[in-house]
Amino acid sequence: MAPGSALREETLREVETLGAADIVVGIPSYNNARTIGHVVRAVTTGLAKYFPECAAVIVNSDGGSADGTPDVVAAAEIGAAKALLLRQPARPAQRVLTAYQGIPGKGSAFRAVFEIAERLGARACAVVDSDLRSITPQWVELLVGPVLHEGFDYVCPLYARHKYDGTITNALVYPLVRAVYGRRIRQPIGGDFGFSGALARHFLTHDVWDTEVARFGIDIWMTTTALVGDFRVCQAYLGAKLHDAKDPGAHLSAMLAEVSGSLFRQLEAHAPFWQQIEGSQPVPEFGFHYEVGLEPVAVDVPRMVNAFRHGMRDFAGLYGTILSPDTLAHCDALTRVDDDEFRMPGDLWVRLVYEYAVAYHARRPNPAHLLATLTPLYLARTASWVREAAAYGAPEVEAALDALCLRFEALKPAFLAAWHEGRFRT
Amino acid sequence: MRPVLALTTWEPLQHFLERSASILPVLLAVVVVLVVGVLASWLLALLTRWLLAAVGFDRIGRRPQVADALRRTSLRQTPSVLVGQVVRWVGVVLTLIGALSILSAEATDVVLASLVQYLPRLAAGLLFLVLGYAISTFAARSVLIWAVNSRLQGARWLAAGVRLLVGVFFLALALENLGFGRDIALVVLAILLGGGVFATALAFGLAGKDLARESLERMTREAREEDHDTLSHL
Repeated sequence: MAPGSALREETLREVETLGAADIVVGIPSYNNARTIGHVVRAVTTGLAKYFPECAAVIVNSDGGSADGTPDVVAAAEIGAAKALLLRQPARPAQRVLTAYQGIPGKGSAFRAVFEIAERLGARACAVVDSDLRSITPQWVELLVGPVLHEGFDYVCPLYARHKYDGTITNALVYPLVRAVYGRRIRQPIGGDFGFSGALARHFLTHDVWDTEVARFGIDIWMTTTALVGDFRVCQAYLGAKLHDAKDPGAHLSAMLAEVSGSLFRQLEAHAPFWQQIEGSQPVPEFGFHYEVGLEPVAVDVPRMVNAFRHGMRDFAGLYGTILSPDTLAHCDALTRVDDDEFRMPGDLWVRLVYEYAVAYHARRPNPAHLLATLTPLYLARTASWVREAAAYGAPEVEAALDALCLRFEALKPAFLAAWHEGRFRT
Repeated sequence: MRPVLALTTWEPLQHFLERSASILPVLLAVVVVLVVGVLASWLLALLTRWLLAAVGFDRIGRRPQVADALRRTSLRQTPSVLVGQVVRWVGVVLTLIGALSILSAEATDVVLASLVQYLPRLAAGLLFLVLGYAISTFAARSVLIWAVNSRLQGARWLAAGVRLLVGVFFLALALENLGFGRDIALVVLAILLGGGVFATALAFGLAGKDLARESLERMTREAREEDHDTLSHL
């Protein structure tokens, strides 16, 4: 069972001595000593440069790092005022370094940030990842500014990304959130968000801190909670998002299961809300769009197609219980297509996503097994996307994604009927 | 000569006829009970099935979870038919006990006492079988999913092996509870486990080490190739 607070006694006392703050910026971390120094410097500089008159607190909510991450945070210094072109003396941002309590995970780390924001009576907050290599001081302005100056409650990020990057977001999360919740939020699980103090308090009223939300899926939970709570939502263009180097394909299956499971759980929790929604509305946007030089991305399409074929063969029995006969027949037909001509049509992918959401809702089969079988189908769609977008520039990519989203929106009535019946009929 | 013939032939025959005459009504009663009982069971099953279908009991079978469970157990009948069949077999067993009680009240008591004594073990045995089915299915699925997503070759064989081992283990437990065939089940389990390990050790250690190396390389090649992608999925 989760404790009543994510904050330790000593942290509570430290927050007490701080009194109040206008802005709280949270940086969750776990063994990020290599990159967190840059993130703290960028945030500190951003606060000094764009919000010099505001009392600000930076919270490092750590999951028990063993590589000295909190020491790096404590030692990180703001650059020289002259070098940063600061024209006026800024109030130095206070720092709170806390090891959060509760279930280990990003959700618990965020909970600590929300609690500190509530105790300090913060008007605006932001959270940024601790492994960012591309964060600049302006990110702070773009995430906090719309809250402080424009009265928005939730600021989602917009990134410049390679057309092959973020395929889970592009193929699954963005279209599904847009079609189901009716708002065109391009990066619902971006990881870097701005939000109002009121929304932070609203987050804390939910009893989710001893559930999966505490471990993973906090991003989609925050976004959908803000939408369902009718808070004012916008998005801000932050430029390129570059992470610390990771092994990108090592845990694809687990990652996909976590993301899709979190999203499907939210659909269940918010069913009464989204069933009334038709179509989608754009959300206000801030920030100046500019071209970014992106690192090249290597993708092995034949390997993905091969994984799909193996999955179709080995999961045949499971797919029989998850998918409708028509969809299964279409997927089966794809296994016989030559590598060079392999394409999973957008309509089929939309149908697959909706049928998985319905199967998850109907607990058919058990959720862990269900979500893990999505990987081969997702790889087929990703392979198709890589082929389709090979010659696309940024505008064509967005146009193609928009077309995919419209297919999601068009099939929503059928999805709704299947949601009630427990399966797609054909 | 005549008295001797009468003594050796007629009297046993007469005795037989007398006993037959006394048993015949009992046998007739047994036949009547059996026929009427089986007929009544059949009618009762039919009535149950009709009533359940009329009140919409079969809707349960259309629920996704139930339909999935029925499909997995290869049961193609509707829920009302299944309940009807259970009613019919219960009726048949009760009829048999009734028929037996006509023949001998003592034998019936013995049979009933044995049945009552055996029931807990039967229930435990059935429970082990059901548990074994559920656990072996879950374990096999988990292994299959892990193997496929790890790009291992022969994922289905691996899953089938796990299902067989877990299934035989629970079968041995069930048979031991029922009190028969326990040795056979244990021997089969030992052969499967020991033999499997021994065969693998031989194949991978001695005779087929080259083949084993190739298999392992093939099994892990795909996973290694994945590392060349720099695609970030999130």
